[in-house]
Amino acid sequence: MAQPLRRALVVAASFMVVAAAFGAGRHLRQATSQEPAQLPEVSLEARVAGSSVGSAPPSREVGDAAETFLQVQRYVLTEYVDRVTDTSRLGRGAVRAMALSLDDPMTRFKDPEQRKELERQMAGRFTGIAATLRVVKQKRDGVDQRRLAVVAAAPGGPAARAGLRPGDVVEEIGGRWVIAYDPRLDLNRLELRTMDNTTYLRALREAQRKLTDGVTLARAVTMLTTGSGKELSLTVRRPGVAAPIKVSLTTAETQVNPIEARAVGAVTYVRVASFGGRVGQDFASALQARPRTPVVLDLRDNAGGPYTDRRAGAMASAMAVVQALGGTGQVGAVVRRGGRREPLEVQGPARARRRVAVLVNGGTSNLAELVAQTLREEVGAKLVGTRTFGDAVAQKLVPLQGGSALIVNAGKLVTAGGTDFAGRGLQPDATVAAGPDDPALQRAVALLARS
Amino acid sequence: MRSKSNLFAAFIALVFLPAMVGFIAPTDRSSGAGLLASTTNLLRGSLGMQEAQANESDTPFAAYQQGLSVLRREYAGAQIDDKKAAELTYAAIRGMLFTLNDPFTSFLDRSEWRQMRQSTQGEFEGIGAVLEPFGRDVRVVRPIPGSPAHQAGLRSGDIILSVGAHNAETGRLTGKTATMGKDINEVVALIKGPKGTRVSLTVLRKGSTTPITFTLTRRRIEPPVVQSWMRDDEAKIGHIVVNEFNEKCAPQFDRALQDLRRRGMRALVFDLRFNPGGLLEEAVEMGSRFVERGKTVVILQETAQVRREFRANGRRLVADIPIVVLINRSSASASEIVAGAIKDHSLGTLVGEATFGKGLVQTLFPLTNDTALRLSTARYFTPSGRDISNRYDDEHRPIFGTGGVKPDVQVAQSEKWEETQNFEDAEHDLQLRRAMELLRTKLAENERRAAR
Repeated sequence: MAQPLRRALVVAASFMVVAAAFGAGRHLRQATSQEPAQLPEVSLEARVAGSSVGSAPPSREVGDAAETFLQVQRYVLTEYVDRVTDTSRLGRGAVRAMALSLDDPMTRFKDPEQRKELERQMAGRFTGIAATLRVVKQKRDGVDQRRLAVVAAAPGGPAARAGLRPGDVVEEIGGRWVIAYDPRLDLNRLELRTMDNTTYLRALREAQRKLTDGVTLARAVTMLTTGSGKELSLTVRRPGVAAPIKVSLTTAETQVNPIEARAVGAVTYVRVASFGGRVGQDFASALQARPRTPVVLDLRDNAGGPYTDRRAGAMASAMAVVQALGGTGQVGAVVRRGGRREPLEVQGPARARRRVAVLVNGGTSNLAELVAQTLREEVGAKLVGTRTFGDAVAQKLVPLQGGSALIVNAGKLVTAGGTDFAGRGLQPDATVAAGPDDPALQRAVALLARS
Repeated sequence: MRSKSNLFAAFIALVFLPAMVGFIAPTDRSSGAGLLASTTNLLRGSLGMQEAQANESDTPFAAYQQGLSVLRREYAGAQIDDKKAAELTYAAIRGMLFTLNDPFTSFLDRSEWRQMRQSTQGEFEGIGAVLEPFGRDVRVVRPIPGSPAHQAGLRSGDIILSVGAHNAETGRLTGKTATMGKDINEVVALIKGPKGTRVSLTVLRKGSTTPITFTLTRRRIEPPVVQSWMRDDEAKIGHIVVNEFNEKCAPQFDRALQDLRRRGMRALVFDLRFNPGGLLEEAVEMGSRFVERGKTVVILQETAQVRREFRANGRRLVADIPIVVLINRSSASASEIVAGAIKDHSLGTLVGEATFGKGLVQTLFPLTNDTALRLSTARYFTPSGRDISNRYDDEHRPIFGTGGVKPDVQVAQSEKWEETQNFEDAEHDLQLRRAMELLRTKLAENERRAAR
């Protein structure tokens, strides 16, 4: 009995489709009848197949969707009420949305401006509040939220001076809520069935107001990471502190020397604030100047970050730091999709092993965590400080046409010893909280002196 | 036997498909973002595309392709298979459109386009209940008067718990589907069906401790676009509400007008509040009810060079009596055209609040894969040449009050009425009450003048 009914419905459904495509009135028909002339399918296939990046020819499904993209592009360029002059802007919007739709904070699009900003940051030049920020996904009160967290505040910058710390979550900027989720979802949690109309509508309107008055995450990041001389008031949530914290600061240009070396007694102290640029070479020369001394490597508030390539950029300088302290050969891997491992190898000649203590804290993240744990495994380094951030996402920066870039979650960073620090961070060998006169540094020096 | 009757039903639906061309009724009235669709500019040249093709490496399409291949090659979070790639492509389309910063331009995927066609059909077969999402549930906004839902006794506020399917021939209950957590469109699909067949609804009603089940027989439903009342039997003030501008609008308006005239109407409250817009042609048709033949109803600016004036077509039906037009912030688009025309030609008094402020016309373009593009293709101006579009702040949010059609008499609505938005409730409707006061004064004035 069910069989004939189903067949009838299928027929009915296909009738609907046909009607929609061809039968739906005068101007729709005009539009469809123009299709073949304006968009020969052959030329589309040629274009799809001839794409410069070597990938398998697209299936019918993607091909169809790609054709839809082309149609939309054409209508926008020819029919839109205002003439669209900046077509590259359209393309950037398309790629940005693709990255966003993966709903993975570690995969994001950088337009040329944002990419330059990122490169400036990796070279230690900050604008705005001078902090590395990250969107973190959290489930709170039963709702998936995306919140803007401070990974590290650049030393001497406005954020650091105002006392912002790793893990702080920026909830408001200038009294405006940083939109973490759709507040209309809150309505689901309310006792709707017992609620009267008036209360419901009021709650709905309040939620809508929150949404329109709020600041989007993208906008919030721009407000906090660009410009100088602008006064901002922030409301911040700090883990373990019940009440929200109000902070006022003025944005400024902040230059952080990515590397700073000095002698502390018989020990060589080197602080590496970020990887990338000349950090590898500078680190090596700083150590060569003081051969055989024990080393305190300060990776506190080093946020790691996207690497361009294993031979250039942040990853290369991270590996150079490991090498200079005596690491050799394969020290870890990026585990790609499907479990494929891309080995991370230290390049260049083997150096004498040093005795090493690594200073870490909650702002030690990503590549910095990889380096810390690798040194623990390879040269027996001791980690001193507090638990690290716990971000093992290998963020690969892939340059795109026109100066944009995609930062892609390209896999997971693991050490040769197989330590997985994703989400949980690294527990230090000696836990020392921050305090006056840098007790962690003193403890590290003492450890090295003893052993 | 049954398959035949199903086919027949599908055919009836088809007959009405052409009627829904280019007409969009937003499902969410509170958004106020109605849509004007025009049939005008589809034949404009494909010049832009040729330009784009000439410089192919820099097209949005090339950027999209490069981005997609990078993600397919590098992304580790999830396998990007063909289905996912198609989803990413739709995201890319939306992202491309997003850069236009035009809230009225959007891409409609398969289900959105299907939903729109269904919801915009002037008629359908079902039970005649207007539904809305309510938290995780779906509830009845109101039963359409005279519909099976109304006759069976469904009430506004009833929360639907389950929908029962019935055998088309025997009418016997074959199964129940719980609706909590389901999307409103799924629930609507469960309830709709060919006329003559049965469906049952189990609802939770405030004040009732046990669920109530209704069994209804589906019928052809034509939701009323126009509602009317004789509000003042003494002064003979009529009140006509137009809910949206679809193809049912003008005939229903004419019928309501005729009915009120037969009852001796001497003044009219023409109510465009919460009317989100609709068809451009319908706006011109409705404007022609008020505006003298040959005078401008609206001016369309399609490109910098192409400007078209739409003039009243001569079917003027309201010329001899005082008119008040009620408007509010949710009167949008086509409503603003009609209100603007009445205002610019001094044909009535506008009472209420400034309108939404949307001076853009959209055209619907059907695309491959059964998707569609809703694209702003023209601006429009009121007969005096005024652009009623809102300005936008640097985050592209409309600054309400910078655009819109301004009322002659500003009247804020009572909170009580705003919450229910119930046109039956004349008592708490401060704007309607003010409109009637104005018309009574006007009628009295006219009488005095005539007596002199």
